[in-house]
Amino acid sequence: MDNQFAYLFGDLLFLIIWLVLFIYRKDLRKEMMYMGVFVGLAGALAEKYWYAVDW
Amino acid sequence: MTTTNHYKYTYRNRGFSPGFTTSGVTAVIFKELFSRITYRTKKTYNHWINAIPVFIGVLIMFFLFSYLRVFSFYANLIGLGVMALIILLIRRDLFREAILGGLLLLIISLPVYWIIFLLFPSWRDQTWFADSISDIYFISIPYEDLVWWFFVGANFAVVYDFINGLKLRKEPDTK
Repeated sequence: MDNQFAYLFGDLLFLIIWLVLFIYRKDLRKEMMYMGVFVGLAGALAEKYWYAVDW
Repeated sequence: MTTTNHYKYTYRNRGFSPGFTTSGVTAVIFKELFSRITYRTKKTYNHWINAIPVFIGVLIMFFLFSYLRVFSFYANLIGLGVMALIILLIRRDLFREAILGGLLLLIISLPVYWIIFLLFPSWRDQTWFADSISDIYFISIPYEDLVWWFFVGANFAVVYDFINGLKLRKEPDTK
């Protein structure tokens, strides 16, 4: 398989765990969504405008 | 500390989804596995000032990496370490969640690496810069990645609880 899909595949594995927790723990959904959106956006912005991969 | 200034595109460029999934999982995995629920007391509070440790940590990372040209691994570790230290000095009750949250994210990441190694055999050679990392591997993964996961996990596990002034207690048996 093309290596460009490796990270996407890793994300999907994490997403499975994410979905299990999201479905099972209704009381923690808000925390998961807030954290996910904030860190996801921060990561995407940091990658685009700030951090370069150096290791 | 090692400094480096060579940047290039690799397959480690990530975007939105890794941060979304890993932070969501890490924020709640301790609470699920150890049957904890969150609550607020009169002593805990929800205020924007609680986000200051996050800003300090990010500023440290930015300053070290962008101005002092410190190797991003060390810049991350120092920034994340300071962030966690401030949070845990103020909220010592979150110590267990931080340590176990870091360890749990580290443990969860292992099979993800192994499955990727299995399905994408050449990914490993195209991912890390051999001249940047220590070349010390633990179960086929550079130790820098494992340490980084732990530090990230320790922060992700507690930062929401800290900012929102949430405390943890044992979940009642009846769900």
